[in-house]
Amino acid sequence: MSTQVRRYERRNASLWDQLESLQEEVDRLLDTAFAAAGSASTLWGEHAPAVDLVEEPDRLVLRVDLPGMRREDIQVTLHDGCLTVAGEMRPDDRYAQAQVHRAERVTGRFQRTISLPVAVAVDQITARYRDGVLEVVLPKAEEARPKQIQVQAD
Amino acid sequence: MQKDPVVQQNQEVKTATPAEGRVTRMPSRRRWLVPAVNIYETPQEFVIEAEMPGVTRDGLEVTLEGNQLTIVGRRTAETAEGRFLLRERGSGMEYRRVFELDPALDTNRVTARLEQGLLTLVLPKAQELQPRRIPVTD
Repeated sequence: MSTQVRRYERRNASLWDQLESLQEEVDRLLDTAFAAAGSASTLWGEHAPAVDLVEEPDRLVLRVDLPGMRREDIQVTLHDGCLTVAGEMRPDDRYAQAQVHRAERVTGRFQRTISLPVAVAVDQITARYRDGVLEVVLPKAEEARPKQIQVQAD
Repeated sequence: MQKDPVVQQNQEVKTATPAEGRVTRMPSRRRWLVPAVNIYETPQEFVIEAEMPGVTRDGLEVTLEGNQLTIVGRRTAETAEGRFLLRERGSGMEYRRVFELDPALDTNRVTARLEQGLLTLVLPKAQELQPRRIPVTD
């Protein structure tokens, strides 16, 4: 009899856990949905990774969350003042046969195109992939950099 | 008796105080990012993959308390100067997720690997849970 009571309590606790899980899940889904809606260019309904674009005095820095990728699967292109980051997130073959309990990670092609607000020095752009974050550094073109103008006195 | 070796997802609930700030896009009581995870099960083990871009090995914390596995990843600080023209990554926050492990898992042999912001945890099943081929004799 006593075991039955205990089991009942445990079931209640797990129901509560599940409700909290649900809340967390809804939060996460909304975050994802809003991130997608806020992103500039997903014409084809592709997955768009989250980006930060920071303007510093003499350069722009773009950071893109791309966890668990291979460097060679990421393409960065610049065309007409638009920077495009594209690639493909491949599922891990090792677990192709495994039973899947959760699959929240997005796989497949993704693309993000950012319209750059200033002219950049095209031949000085660098891109580095580290800790699952792609960082593209775009030095501003000479005419877009702030310049100090000497004030002359007669 | 029901015996179900599952890795359940669980989480702590803490209310955010205004001072802690929230960087989520929707009002939420949560003040950390919940990493997206995949959970696989093979006959020998459970595998948890968690996405934590921007987290280095130094910022990673995997703790096992009883049957509760907690993963925490702190992003490394990025340049503070300049202004954000786009900000979707919610920098300065930490990733956090808690899993409830089945007691039958062999928690002494849990391994963790962090590669390009992807944390992979391998949780071997206890020997007695692994499928064993039983020879049939006449």
